[in-house]
Amino acid sequence: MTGPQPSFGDQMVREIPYLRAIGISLSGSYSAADDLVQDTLVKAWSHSDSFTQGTNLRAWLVTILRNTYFSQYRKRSREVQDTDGIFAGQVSVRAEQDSRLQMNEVQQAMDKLAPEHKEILLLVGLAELSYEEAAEITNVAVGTVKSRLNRARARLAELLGLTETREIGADPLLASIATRSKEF
Amino acid sequence: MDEKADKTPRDGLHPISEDAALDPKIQEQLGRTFRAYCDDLIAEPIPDTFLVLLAKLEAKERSGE
Repeated sequence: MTGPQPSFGDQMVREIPYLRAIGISLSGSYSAADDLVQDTLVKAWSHSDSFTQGTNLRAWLVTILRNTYFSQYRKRSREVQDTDGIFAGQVSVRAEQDSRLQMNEVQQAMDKLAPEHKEILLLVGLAELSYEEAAEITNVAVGTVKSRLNRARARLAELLGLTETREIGADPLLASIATRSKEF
Repeated sequence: MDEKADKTPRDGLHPISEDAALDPKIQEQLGRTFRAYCDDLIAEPIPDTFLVLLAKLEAKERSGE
């Protein structure tokens, strides 16, 4: 086709918001998420020849991020770390963001989900990957992805106190406040 | 399980099969709440560090060619 193709780097830049969002939700920490995204980008760059052009770059990057998280970050994700000083100076901002995150009622509910339930909501709900892509990433059958999603949704609704039908206005903010005031 | 020609939004929050369907009102509220949570996270400003990192990686590759 005509026109210059965006470079691999440019394509990766577009996916950073999604990678970082998944990292924040997974780890519950902005600083851990930033380390995770940085490692993901470096790994992706050095293994770029294993990416098949024309396939979903986000799915490929999310695979790297997910595997990096489960192999390295899970244990220490709740610790504030700045070992190499790269983020020095941004630490106070991060701490503020983290405390805001911890007050977020959805994040709290996500943290209480089984890891595989949280993961499937992030892959399909946040990253908008297909069931097939999510199945490949988590190494389970497509049917398992679907049943996990159903269970994850039901459990999240329960944790958010949405288990009974209530008359709440259409305004999501009001709905969220109403839910919180009743349940928390 | 058979899949119907599926018009269900793939946001991870809409039931895929009838058997596990949440109450539609709960479903709608959950969908809205989760979407807002995701949108907020995705909209977070990205630290420059990542752009600098990618620029460095690109420059290194170019100089190595």
